[in-house]
Amino acid sequence: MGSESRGGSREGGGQLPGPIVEELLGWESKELRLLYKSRFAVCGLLRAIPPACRHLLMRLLYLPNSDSSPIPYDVARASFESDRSYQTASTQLLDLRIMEREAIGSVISFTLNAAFAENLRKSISMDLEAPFQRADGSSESVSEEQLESFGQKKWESVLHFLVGMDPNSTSTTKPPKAIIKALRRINLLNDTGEGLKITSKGFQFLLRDPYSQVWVLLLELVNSVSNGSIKAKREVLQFLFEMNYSEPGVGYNISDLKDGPVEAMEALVALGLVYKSSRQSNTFFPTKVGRRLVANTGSGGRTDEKNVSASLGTCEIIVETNFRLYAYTTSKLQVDLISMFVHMRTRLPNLAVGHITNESVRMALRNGISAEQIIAYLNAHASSRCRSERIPSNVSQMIRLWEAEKDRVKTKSGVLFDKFETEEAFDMVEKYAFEMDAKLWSSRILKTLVVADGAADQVKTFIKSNRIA
Amino acid sequence: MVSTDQPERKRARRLSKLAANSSDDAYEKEQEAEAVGSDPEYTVGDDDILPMPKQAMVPIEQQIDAEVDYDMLDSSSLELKKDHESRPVWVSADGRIILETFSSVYKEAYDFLVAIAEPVSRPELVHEYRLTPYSLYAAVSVGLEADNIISVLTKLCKTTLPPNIVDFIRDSTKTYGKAKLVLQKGKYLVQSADTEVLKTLLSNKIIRAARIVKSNPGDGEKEDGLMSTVNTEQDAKFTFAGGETAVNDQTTLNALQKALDDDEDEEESRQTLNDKKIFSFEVAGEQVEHVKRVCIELDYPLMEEYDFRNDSLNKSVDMDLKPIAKIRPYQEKSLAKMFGNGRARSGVIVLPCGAGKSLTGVTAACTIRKPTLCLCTSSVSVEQWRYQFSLWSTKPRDQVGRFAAGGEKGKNIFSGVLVTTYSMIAHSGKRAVETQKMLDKIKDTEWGLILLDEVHVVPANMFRKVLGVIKAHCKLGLTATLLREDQKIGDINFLIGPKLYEANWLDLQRAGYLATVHCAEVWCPMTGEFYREYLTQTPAKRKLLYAMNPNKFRMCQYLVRYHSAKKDKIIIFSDNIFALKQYAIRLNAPFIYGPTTQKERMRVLHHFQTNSEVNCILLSKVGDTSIDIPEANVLIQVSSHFGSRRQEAQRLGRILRPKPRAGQNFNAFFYSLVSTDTQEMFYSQKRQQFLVDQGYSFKIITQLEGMDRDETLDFGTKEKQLLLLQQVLAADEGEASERIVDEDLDRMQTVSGARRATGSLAALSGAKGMSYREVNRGPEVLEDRKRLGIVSKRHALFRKRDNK
Repeated sequence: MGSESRGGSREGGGQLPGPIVEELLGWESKELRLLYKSRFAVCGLLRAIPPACRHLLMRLLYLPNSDSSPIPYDVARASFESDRSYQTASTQLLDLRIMEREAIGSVISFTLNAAFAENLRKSISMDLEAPFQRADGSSESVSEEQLESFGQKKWESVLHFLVGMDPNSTSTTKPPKAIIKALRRINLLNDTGEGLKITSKGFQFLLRDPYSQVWVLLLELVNSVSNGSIKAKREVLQFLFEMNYSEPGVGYNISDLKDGPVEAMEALVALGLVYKSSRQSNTFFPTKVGRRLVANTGSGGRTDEKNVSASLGTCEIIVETNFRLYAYTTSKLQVDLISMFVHMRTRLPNLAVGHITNESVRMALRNGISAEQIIAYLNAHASSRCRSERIPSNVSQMIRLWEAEKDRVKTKSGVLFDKFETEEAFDMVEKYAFEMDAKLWSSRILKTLVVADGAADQVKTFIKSNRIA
Repeated sequence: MVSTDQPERKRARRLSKLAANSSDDAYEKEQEAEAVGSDPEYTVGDDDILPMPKQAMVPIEQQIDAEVDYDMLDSSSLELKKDHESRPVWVSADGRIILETFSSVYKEAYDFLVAIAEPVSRPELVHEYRLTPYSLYAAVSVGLEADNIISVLTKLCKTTLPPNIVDFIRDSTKTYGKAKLVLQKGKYLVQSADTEVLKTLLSNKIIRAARIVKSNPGDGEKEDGLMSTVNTEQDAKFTFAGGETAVNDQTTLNALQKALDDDEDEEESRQTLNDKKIFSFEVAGEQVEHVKRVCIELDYPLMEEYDFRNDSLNKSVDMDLKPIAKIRPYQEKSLAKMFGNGRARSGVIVLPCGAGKSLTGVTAACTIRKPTLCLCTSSVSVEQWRYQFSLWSTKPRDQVGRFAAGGEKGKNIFSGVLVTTYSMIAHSGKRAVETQKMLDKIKDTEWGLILLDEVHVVPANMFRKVLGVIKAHCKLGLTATLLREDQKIGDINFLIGPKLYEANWLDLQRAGYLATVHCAEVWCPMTGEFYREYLTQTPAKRKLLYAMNPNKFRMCQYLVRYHSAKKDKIIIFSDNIFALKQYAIRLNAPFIYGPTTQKERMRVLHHFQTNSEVNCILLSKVGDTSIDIPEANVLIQVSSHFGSRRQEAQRLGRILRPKPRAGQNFNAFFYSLVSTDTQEMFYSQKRQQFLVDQGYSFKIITQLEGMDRDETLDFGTKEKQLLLLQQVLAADEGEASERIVDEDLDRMQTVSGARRATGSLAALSGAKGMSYREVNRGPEVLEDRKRLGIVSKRHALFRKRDNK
């Protein structure tokens, strides 16, 4: 998998940082320290970091005097089996400024960010409640089911649009312009001239778990809304961390919120994170996706992914050795997604049947989806009934070979020489080009010769010096 | 032979010309040709041919076809049942049935589905079947009725049945299976449960004329003269030779119903099956053929059943299965279908190669115990069938008659079992007086059972001819693949009978009845020089070029050495005769092809089976069917016939017999060598389709470890490769493709006198002999080859002497 995508499996690294961690890694330490003043952000982040980091953090959190005196390297290293696993855990904590390194001579020691440690200890020992003002006076009420289906529908419409297979997408089901723009900005969609088409990155995006997807898009939207203002961005993030602790089915006042989240409210509605009865309404209802967003980032684990995607349409796939594909799903979205690289034949209430063919895979390859991505998707959704929960090796091998087929033709640029007066002249030049290892193609009958670009000048000089016209 | 160009013949020739480049029909033609004995003037008199019903005339894909449909069929609106998870089946509106093999009722559901639908693909987890008129015809003829089919299918299905499928089942079964022809106590009875059907039939004047009306109506007769009896056949418990009690289909249904535990209308359906009155009328024996023909034309094909236990007119043959003959569960199941109601049904049993088709046939013969005629495709398989009879039944080998060219005939020909070839019966040319006499006697005999080996190979005309002249009460076809590229398989359904049973390859493999085969497609890149020629040459030359690709040879040589070292027995298949010979010479191994005489064939096979020094033989396509080589466990395919799925399956079948070498994951290996970037790649995928649908997976090998470093392999240098290229280019294309000469015909031709052979003008003028050929066999090699009987084609005169 290319360097552009982080969604795939990384060699040895094991856990991948969730999109939120990814985002925070790009922040300045000053901004990070400000963020850590929020208890909600600290708790949310604790969930977002990989388990190894969490483990290290918790080990260090309750060490005696950890606030006042630095923690020696040996203590931090002690609970890890290998240097490598220690390294992965500590590097990320250091990068996030949760932990700082001090080196006095050859002695290395660590300190925890004081605000972070303080907030974490506090939150562990007591409950948190969202700091929003309940909109008790408002007459609006929405049931939990309504909220859930609203959130789901909104997000599905985004994914449907991305897959681009929904010919009936009307203005009501189409996502707002801001989202479409964002999709293009982060290069998930690309205008090929014949309308928008999904990119390789976009396909990779589809393979991630829905919460990671929402994060990626959300951060992009927040960026654009806040015009790059880091303050607004921090406020929105903080708001999202706070929303994690809101109650289901309860409406809250918008007017009490900070500027950042107020400005971003439309984007949040478009992504289905919060519900508003109307544009003007002063009350917002966090949806299930919105409330769980923070808690689910960075998990990256497979089982988790399956649970999460339950809300957006599960899909279990059986691929047989005869290249037939049986997808147990009721979700149109999943069927559309699969049909990007599979020739779908029959759709039944809870099953879709298709055939993986050279043509269908080639079509996907043309659209920028790589063989590895297809295989990764199929393996990720492989039914537990399949051998070792993977697709048959002959199928994955074939898909790779189909991809390799595409690379069979190599292009080299060259210069064409023709109109040689005599065959002798032609032979001489051809021989020269051949000896220089620059001959790409030649025909004695046509007295035509193609020479590699780099050597064309030398051949020209040769022709001149030998006075061959 | 005198050339009399008949229109049909012309058409066939034109067709085969058309097919020569791309179509796979050609394979069928050639296989047919082998079965017919390559008699170029083989003709069938119109009188001998049985007619066919309308349904059989329509190609299958026009009746119901979903493969062509490129849009997604959306049946997602079907209502999903609440307990769908415990039901194993989906039925989509295009007649496709999808079955989960991991369901708890899989076994019962499989038995049911294979009875009503055509298996499309049967890999490990999810099977697909398709309902076709043929499959429903088969279902009806083993005793299932539309109501049963629909009710069981409804129960199995996770959703409600698509309404058009219900209609389709009803329409297809409306007329089929409604009338039966039963031979009871020497009387031919036309039976039906529905008096209307009989009345319809009787309204035809030929049938009316053939009917025998009793002068004094008995008690069972109604006013319209039809006899009525209460059907008790379903209750008849019956044991076939060496087997358990035959299970009838009601048992299957009951088992299913129990498994699904569905209380509704269970009682009812049982009622409808059992207590039914059967009406019948008798027809005169000499008119039976006419009645059958008329019934087919009326779209009420008579299903034939033979009540052999009550047949006192034909003398019984004293034979039984030996106690050592153990019938396997799937053989039992297929025989149970045949003898389901205590009578013998005509039909086809489909079992994979190596799964014991012969034992199934022998058991059927031992059950019926009436004179049995066994028809095979070649003289080699005649011997093999005789051996099978002596092995499993109490009939000693010399009591099993043989009516084939070469060897002694006439001895014990009518002692109960007779084995012969299709071409011996169907040949319409002149014959030796003695042979003709015997043939007449065969035609006069009333056979109890006729066993038809490799039914899919034989052309329909041949069948109709054979079945037209041979009087048999029961016809049993045996085959591994009911598959023809030209879709003519429908003929068999109506000429012999429906498919009675089809076993699942993967199930058999899992149970250890078949070898576990590792299939691999080996990609051999064309060398630059060969590819350049490939791009510019004629199609025939191209075939030669990709078969003789030096990289392919090296790959083959490497594999042969690798497996020889492991003491494996290797068969190399090459359709291309030029390649066959070249490979044989360079690999120093014996080969068998069309012109190889019967005696030579037997000798080479014997050596291969017993001599530990001979680990490898090469076969042309004459080895595709019927040659039984149980020892072989490695198969390398060098060149093959275009995209024939059947050939691929048959070849794989050569190594499917289970091997005793336990403890390994795979005990047999199938390599298909393919030159990359040539037509072979395209055909190769097509060829594998059938096997892939049976659950085999082909691993693609692009490189073999250590092959490049091995300098002992041939064609390692460019010079040698170019030399080979020259040879290939100089080779005569006519030499490359095989002209199959059947030894049966050879003999007959000596009777009829002149003989014609086709050859290029160049060959006649001697140019053929001018081609350069590298000869590098030492004297001892030559000696060795002689010992093995691989003397190249001998003159017919000497060959005749050899055989004596």
